[in-house]
Amino acid sequence: MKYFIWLFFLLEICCRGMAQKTGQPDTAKKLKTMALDSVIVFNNGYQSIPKDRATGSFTHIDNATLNLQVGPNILSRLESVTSSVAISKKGGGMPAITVRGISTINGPTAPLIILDNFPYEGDINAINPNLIESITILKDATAASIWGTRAGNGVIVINTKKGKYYQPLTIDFNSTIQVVGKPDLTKLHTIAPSDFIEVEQLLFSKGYYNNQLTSAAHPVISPVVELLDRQVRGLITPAEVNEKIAALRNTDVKEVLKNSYYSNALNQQYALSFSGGSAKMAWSAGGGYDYNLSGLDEVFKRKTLRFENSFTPVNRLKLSASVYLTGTDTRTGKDDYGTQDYLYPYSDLYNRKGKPLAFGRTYRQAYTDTLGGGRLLDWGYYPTEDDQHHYSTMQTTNLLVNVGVHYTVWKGFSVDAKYQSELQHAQKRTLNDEQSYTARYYVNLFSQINPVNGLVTYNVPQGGVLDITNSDIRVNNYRGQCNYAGKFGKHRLNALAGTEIREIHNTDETYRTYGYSTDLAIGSITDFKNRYPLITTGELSQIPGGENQFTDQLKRYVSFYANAAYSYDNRYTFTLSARRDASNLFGVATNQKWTPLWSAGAGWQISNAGFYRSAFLPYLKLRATYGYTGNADPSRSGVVTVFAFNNSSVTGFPGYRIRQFPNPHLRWEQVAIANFGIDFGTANNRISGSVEYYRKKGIDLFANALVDQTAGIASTGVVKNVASIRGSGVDISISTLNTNSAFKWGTSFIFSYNTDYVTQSYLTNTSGIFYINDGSTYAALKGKPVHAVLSLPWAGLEHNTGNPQGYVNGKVSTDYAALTSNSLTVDDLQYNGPGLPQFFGSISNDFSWKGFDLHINLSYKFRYFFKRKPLNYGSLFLNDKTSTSDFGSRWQNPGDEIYTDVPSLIYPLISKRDDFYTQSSAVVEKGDHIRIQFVNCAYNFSFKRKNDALHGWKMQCFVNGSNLGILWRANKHGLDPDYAVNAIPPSKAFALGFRLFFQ
Amino acid sequence: MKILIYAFVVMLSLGSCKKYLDEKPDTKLLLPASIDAVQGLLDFETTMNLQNPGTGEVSADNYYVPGATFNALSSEAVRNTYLWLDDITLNEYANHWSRLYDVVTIANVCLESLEKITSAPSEQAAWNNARGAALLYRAKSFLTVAGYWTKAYNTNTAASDMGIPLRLNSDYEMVSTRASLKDSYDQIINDLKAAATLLPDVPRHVMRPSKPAAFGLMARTYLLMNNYDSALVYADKFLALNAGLLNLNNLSAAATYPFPVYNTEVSMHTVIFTPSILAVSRAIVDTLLYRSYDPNDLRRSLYFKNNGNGNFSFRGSYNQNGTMFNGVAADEIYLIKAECMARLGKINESMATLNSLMITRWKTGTFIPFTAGSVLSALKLILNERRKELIFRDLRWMDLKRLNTEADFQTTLYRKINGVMYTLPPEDNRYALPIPSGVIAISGMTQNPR
Repeated sequence: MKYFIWLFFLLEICCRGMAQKTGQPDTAKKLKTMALDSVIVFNNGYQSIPKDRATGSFTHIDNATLNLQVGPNILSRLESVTSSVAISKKGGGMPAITVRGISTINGPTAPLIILDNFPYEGDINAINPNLIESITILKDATAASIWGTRAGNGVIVINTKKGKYYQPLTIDFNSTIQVVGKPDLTKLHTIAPSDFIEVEQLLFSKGYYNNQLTSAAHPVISPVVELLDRQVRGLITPAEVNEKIAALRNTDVKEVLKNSYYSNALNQQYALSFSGGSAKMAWSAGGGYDYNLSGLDEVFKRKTLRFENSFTPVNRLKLSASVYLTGTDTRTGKDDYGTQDYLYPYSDLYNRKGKPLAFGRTYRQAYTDTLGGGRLLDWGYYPTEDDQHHYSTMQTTNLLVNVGVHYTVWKGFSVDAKYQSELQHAQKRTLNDEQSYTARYYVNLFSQINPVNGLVTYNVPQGGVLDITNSDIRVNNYRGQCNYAGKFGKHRLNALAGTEIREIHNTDETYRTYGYSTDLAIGSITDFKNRYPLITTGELSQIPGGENQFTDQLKRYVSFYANAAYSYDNRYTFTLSARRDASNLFGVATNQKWTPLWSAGAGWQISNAGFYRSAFLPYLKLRATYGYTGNADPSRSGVVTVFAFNNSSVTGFPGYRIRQFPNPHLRWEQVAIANFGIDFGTANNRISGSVEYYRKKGIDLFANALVDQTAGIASTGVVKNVASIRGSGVDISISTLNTNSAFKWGTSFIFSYNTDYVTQSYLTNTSGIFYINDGSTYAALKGKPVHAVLSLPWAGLEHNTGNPQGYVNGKVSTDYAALTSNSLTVDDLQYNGPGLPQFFGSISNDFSWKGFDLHINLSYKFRYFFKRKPLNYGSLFLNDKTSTSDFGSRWQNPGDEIYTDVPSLIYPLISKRDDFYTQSSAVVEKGDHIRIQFVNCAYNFSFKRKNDALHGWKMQCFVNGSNLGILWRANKHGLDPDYAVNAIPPSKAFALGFRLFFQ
Repeated sequence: MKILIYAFVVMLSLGSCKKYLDEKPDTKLLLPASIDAVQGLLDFETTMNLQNPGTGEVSADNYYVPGATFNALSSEAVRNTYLWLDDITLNEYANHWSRLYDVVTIANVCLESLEKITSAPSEQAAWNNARGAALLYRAKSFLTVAGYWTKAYNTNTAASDMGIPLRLNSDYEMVSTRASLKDSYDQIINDLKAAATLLPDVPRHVMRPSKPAAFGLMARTYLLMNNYDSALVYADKFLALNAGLLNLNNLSAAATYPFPVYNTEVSMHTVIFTPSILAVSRAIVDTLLYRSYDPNDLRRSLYFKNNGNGNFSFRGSYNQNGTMFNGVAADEIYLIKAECMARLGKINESMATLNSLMITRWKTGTFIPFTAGSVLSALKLILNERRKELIFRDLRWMDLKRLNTEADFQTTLYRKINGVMYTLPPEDNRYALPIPSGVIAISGMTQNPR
């Protein structure tokens, strides 16, 4: 707290001094500026369009809304505060962020991110949300087509905080400290320790482990199997075994991890910015510092510095420049639960004396304990300590430099030239120091012990293993643009035309050093060429990591664009936009490089019409647009292309692979969008909002063509412009001011509806089994959504055996070969529903009274499906330590089939029985749910009295809660459908924040 | 400011636009439009040499697995292959069929590219080498496909027997059809003949095809076609270039894997992408087969590892690890030569050939040369040694198929698993393995009868 007070006074003193020097502009001009500020202006990256004259579908998200959530990633703050934007945390094939659903099947799905006029190629985490003023989302063709072939998935325009002319000195400071609780692993549905032991005992009695126990590869043996084996070999009495196993049954690794492994996470954010302006100059400067420490000791640090200046030396000329420098530092921490393949459900991390336990990761411990007769290094893996010796650090520096000239040639004619350079350098260092498991493992593995004198030869030098990856991104953007803005009576014309050149150059290189000493920063020479015997199996092997990796990629785009808007009497607006793009995408024939994309729009502000007299709805506007955007995938090519691999380690010859088979008809994907919108506002904006309906059609979409494996192209497949999809949806956002007295209560409703279905797809009459899908990847089945959940029809469990049953030719069957046969058609599948929510949105209530402000946001997602992790006996037998707790509720006795769908345990395994069950609709769940997205509670101090010592300052303290939990969900297993099947949903997080504002 | 002017100049001069956009997007990308690029495709040994399917070996009788090991195998496709059942393909990439046809397609892309390249005289050798290699890889893949998925070759019926899909260009739109067995083998022979005229006598590395490798494969192909005259001709041509043999007395039984990789016998190095059931820890060498090695036969100790419980595993791979070698090596060619001579009635010469190989296999001073009084006894001796020498080379399945057509050499295979006895009588339909059902579904080709 001391820190804040100090800073506070320091700022006060220096700002007052500066304010006196720059001098306050006259009040009239100041008011004018302020009035202009309150008009919402959409920025599409090329121009600013006032809301009244916009026909396209734009969404503007202001600073206050962005500040409602406290995430360190700017995109995460869009969740649940705007319509049409859906965020998925599932990973895998699920697009992480979508604007108005899916527009493609097989092409890139990410929206285009624009940071201050130019596409942003760097790491999204490098953008500090505290330095962002607003975000504009471009949703339909009129809004987005100016971005051409990259706009097919929507465009998100991020605008940083900038100074304005005639703006008095403004200071903005904020700090946030967030605490995230430990993950509650006990809520994960993983197999119970005693169940896991039961399976191991059963498999042991069947001889399942015999091969592993006698294998020359000496694979890791679980503690229970080791005990049982020792019992068989007479090394331990049955009584001792029983006692030890009983103890293991009572150890739950999830409890152990929760109590002595995970800790609370702490996230801190500080940001400070200054801005101001006079008649000739506007400037802003700011900086931020973030420090996040996760529950697994992962570190994320971000430092940002930003300076921006606009200068008008003579009346017609405006010069602008900005510099944005970001440095991020990350460091990995301990292994997360679920990635720890060495931990059994009954593992403990410490022995009874509290000393860390060692785990075998590659070889059986009983084997490595005696191998080498004590001359080798310890083979044990210590999960509680290894993160001190094995970690990756990543340092990223991102520099954005922007310069621009705007010159008014004559009356409404002006020209613009802009240049932006983006440089990002990242270095990732993965260090496994001398004491790390990995370093000890490699040193041991390639050690040779002389049988005569016992001397050890180290073919991998003793010391650490260091992997370094350097990556660089260099982006150059050049833009030249002519503008016209004119008004003749009631006619108003705004037009622009320009050209743009853009070049993105990526390079990276990776290399490995053995024998690295952290103290001295030196490595050793290592022989990567010759083969050495492994100490374990005697097989000859090269020391891995000898091949340095290099990447060098260059993408170039040349574009022409034009845009015109005509409006009459502030009532009718017509817009037209066109763009052509070309790029150096390999192999695409030149005549197909230039794809014209266009859009047209019309807007009618009824409320400005002569006849319109409505006291109830003083503001009413109708909009309609139609047009095309595109989606280009730089990895596709029209001719056979070959990819250079490293030189062979055996022959030394360069080895190439075919990356793509010829596909001469390849084109870019196109998305046609029609949008109809109504904007309205009642008197005093008591109720205001917009309703939009859109239809879109993706044509010439990339899709995999199914080709017989005899054609020999199964390694790459072949993609053609053969698919098309249709989609439609509704975006509604309505804000109401329910009470407007001392106690203010406002509600905002956000509702999005989005559906899509495949109208044309190449994969029509083939085997149904290919289409079975949990919704995370595309199924591309005609008539179904792109992300559809499809499964095999389920007929329950058999009464006598607990075998899963399906339907063969309409009859209940357990013929698993037939049930999972390739001859099944798509008609044999059950369509469960869409994999992406069709209805989603939020309801937020904002209460304020005196200085208090309370904001509660509830979000919902309806009408979608997911698959829970099915019990797969095959993987359970293969030691899936995080197999599902469904094992506990499996069929065990006749009659159990009434309350369970989980098949009985059988041995030997019938893998097709597993295949059938895991692909059946028995494991499909409804995703519908309502959650508390966040709660924000603030208290505002303002110092309005002239004689107040803190006159001009505003202060706000706030508390923010997120991940507060699900209020209602459709699935009965307590699963959070927003997260991947095995992921640990984040714990409740609370933040305490402080904001200062001076003007 | 300069940079802005530059930008304008670039933007306005559309003429330079084409050049600006002709830069490749990834430095690692190239078109297969040069001999070097084609050679690079052929030199990618991971695909071309190291991922041969071992389905024939899985089906054959060199080994067995105990019930517990069998039950613990996760791949049902592998378990079904072991028991000669129907469903032996995992319906995914990569399977035994796609691995072989991937090589065919790469070879076809190379051949098509080479057609378009007019080579300078100084590059003629490189061009020849690339074309020869592509032809050889294609033929070798076709030969394996024929060995697995067709019946034994019978000269009288081959013209009407079902062969294999002969994909001779890289057009993936072409629908696959099965050629006749005769056409299939003729294609293999033609490719190999053409390859032999183009390839060098000595390759720069044994991963690369060479003239002796082409001769060796031709000898192998003619033997499978029961054309002993031609097989003998090409065996001799091979041995004229590559007759060197290992003397097993020089190898150390103390090493985990005693046979050095790329040794003198190897003329072309390829290996099997080991199916799980054939892993050293699982496959146990057939007991009678193991016992048939003479105590003075060095292969008894160098080929096999004693598991300590009366079981033996194979450790004699020419890849010097647990991965099985299936390339072309001189020992096989000696045995082809000996067999052909015996079949052509030249008993003494055939025994001399056999003995010249066998003396290198026996402990020095203990070898008693083989003799035979009749063609049949000579053949029995040779075929017995052939089986023992070429164990786990993925040749046994084709040998079983071929020899089962002769009354004197018929074998019935047995597997006993979980109390059930599985039997494979000679000339059973199941010797032609089932083609993956996905391939049949898309192409509409005729499946092998069961």
